[in-house]
Amino acid sequence: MLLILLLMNENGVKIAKNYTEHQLLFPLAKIGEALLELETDNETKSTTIANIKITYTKVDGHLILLGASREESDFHLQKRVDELKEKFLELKKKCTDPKEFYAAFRNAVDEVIVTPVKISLVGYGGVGKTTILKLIRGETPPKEYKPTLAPEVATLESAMEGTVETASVGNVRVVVWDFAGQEQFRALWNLWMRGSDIVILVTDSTYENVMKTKFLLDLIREWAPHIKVIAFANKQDLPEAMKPEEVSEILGIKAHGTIAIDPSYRFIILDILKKTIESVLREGIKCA
Amino acid sequence: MPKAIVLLYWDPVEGARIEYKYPIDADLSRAEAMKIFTSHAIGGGTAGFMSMSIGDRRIVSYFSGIEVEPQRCLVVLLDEAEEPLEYAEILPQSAENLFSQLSIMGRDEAEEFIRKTFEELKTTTPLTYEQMLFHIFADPLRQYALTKKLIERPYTLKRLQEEVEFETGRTIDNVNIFIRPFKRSGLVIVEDVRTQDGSILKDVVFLIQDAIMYRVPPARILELVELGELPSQISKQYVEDVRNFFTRSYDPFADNSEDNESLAKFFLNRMAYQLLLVLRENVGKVDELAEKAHIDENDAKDLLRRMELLDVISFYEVDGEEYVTLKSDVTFKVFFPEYLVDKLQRRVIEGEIPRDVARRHLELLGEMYMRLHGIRITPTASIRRIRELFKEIGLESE
Repeated sequence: MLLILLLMNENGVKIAKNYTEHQLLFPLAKIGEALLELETDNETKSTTIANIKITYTKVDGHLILLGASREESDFHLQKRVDELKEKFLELKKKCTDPKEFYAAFRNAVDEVIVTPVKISLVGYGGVGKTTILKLIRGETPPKEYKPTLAPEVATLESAMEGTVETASVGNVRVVVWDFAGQEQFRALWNLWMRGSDIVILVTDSTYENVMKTKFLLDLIREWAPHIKVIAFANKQDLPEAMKPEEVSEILGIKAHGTIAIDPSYRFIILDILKKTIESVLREGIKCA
Repeated sequence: MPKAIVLLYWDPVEGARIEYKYPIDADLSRAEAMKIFTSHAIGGGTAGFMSMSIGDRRIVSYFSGIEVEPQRCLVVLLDEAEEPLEYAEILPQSAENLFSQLSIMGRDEAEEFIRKTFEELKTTTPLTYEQMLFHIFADPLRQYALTKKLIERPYTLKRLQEEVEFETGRTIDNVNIFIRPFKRSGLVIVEDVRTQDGSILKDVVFLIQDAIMYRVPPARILELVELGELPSQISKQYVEDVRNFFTRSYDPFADNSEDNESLAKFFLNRMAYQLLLVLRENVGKVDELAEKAHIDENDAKDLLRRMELLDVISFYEVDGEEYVTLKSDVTFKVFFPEYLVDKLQRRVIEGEIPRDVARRHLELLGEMYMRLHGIRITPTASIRRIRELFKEIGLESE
């Protein structure tokens, strides 16, 4: 979990962004001072003190220090700090006024270090996952069924704009993974699901598919017991479709009725996502 | 010639991401990167080489494996006219080398490493026979497979992998890539064999030529000394140094497997190999040699220092200038494994290998024997010679 970001130089802390309620600024600023003085090279490094993983790098007389919880991966934290360093140098070229520079860097930080909320669209082939993704993004639904051959990763800033409360958490990015549902890709679902905050389980609402999806839900519970799962009982316009309540009963979780080819469902789906994302964000902000 | 090189890593939240690329304007979309990772993962998720087309693009890539953290993929974007399989040996080697060193490299160092890897790949031409053999001797597991296993009997590819892994305690990541240099250099043939009970033994590996690697004095340079074409100040010392090395420091009959491995690994580097080719024919200053080998002078300096440590070259100072000469060359002897005829006979009698497998091995050896000894290959001649071989080991031919 992301805890704090500091940018400092020999004159003190220039930017401090707190991502938790813990008061970490003072102790980490002290550590930052020591690192500024003692660290001799400009490589990006990680060290753990108490339960805090500190990843830092020196650039142009400044220290960028990222504090995260100790279970975060060194590799991913260091990648984020490297990206911050690049951003620092890029903005330094553009902004000659220090005030302007610090303000621009502060604004750019979240986009780099705050890991997006990951939503995985999971379900068997042909149930409408890609159509749902297109609907969320406000795109025209596909006219014919074309199997997805690799997970498509879509960033949803524009689609989610105004639908997520972002004031207290900075700019929340959302990525949606549209899983390839065909048989040959199923062995990879577990791998693709890693790092997900929310799983949207999609069924085409036929009895056979709902029963298969129930089995899939059991697998998801096994792979990721704490993940939030919501179900979409799609293709409600078809005569053989089971009602959302019936699907809910079989799956054991609430299933929302959808017709992904009908654009009027876009705002219903976005509203469901908004509420789910907000509940995920209340649990803390990830950084790797 | 390749267009660009891209190193990807797998982020569980954002999917495939670009870690480094060269040239800096190289372009690989997120969707393309996802397809590359997915293709590797579907192929079993083990470390390995793959070539594919995505739209109009031709790509070769090497994946670190699904179990490795972080998962990485080294991708080379190819020119339309290129043959992807020409990268099947060099790319895994470059990628493994890169993956193993990234964690101890800073960003600048890694960027330079990627650039060098790309420059090296740019010189990729079809591998010479000698380079193919370097691929066998550079890998201790391949050396082991050749010198301890394949000279004894034929194996199925699966069993060869199992026995080599068990006996060395190390893992062969991808057995198809493992066996490829043996096949391409013509040392082995891999075939399915139908046995008398009607079952089929898949991928049986038959050794049909054996190879050994050793150092030799640099013949052409010593000839140049004879012709008086070396600076007189260094000729005598040079000949003395070569003699000393081959009489005191190197024994061609000793177990030189580690030395061979170090040399072969080093010469897998395309630039190092180009330099060796130049050094076999020339003595000169670093800048002259670099120019002849078409490599950057700084890269040449670095490679020559490493060659000196490997006892491949010597530096001599003449009038304040540094001359480089080849002190010891490397060579291979590829020969017909006649010893296998007796061994196959024994293995069949002891029931270790099925008769049909032995018969097929003898047929292949017979064909190779005739090719090497210039016997005209006509069906009649082939069959006659094979029958003789069968008779020699007490097997009836059909």
